[in-house]
Amino acid sequence: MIDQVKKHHPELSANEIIIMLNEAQDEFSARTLLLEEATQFTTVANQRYYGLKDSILEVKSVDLTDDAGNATTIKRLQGRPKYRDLDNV
Amino acid sequence: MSNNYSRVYNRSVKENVYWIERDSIGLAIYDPLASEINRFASLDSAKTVTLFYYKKADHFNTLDKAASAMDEQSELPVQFHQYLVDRAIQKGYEFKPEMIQMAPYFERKFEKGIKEGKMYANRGRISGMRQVRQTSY
Repeated sequence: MIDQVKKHHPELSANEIIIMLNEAQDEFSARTLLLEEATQFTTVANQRYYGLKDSILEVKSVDLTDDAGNATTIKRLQGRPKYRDLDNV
Repeated sequence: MSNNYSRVYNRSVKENVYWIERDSIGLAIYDPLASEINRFASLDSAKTVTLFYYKKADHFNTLDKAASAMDEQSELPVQFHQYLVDRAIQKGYEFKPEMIQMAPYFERKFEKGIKEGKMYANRGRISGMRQVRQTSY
């Protein structure tokens, strides 16, 4: 990919081209929503907020595994709670 | 007078909910009978949460971070790689005032790729009936 760009722009360094390709990938991913992924984490008692990875564009759904090991999809709250905490964010 | 509601909501049942705020996900137990300040309490024990989401493609490393950067492949399906190259070429021409007229040609190619990418994503890798999502091409 870098070589192809260099044919048109030999004055650009490889790093400059890589940065441009990364920007193009970001835009392509955000506008097409082509890539989907799932990831897991474990909650901590008495903590409500958990940071999201920068690469996440849109959360589609969230499953919570209960004590019996059954995963169920939980509902998304419209808006947010009136009282919120600023820790762990 | 009886009503014809097909579904009766029980407003006293606690349930887990999530919301997105400030680049974080909030998880709580919603208790409609609790006082307002306690209505969204944190989960009382450690639980496994699975997030399903759309993501950005992983970035290529720059050469100062990894010598293997020249050989890296995009996470996007291979048929869309050329459109990334087109975008980079377009950007390069936009930096050259004497050749800026070349930029719209490559921009059109990239936009064609966006359209194809949306169609690919909507297809969901299945044939026949599928869920329809409203999309602007």
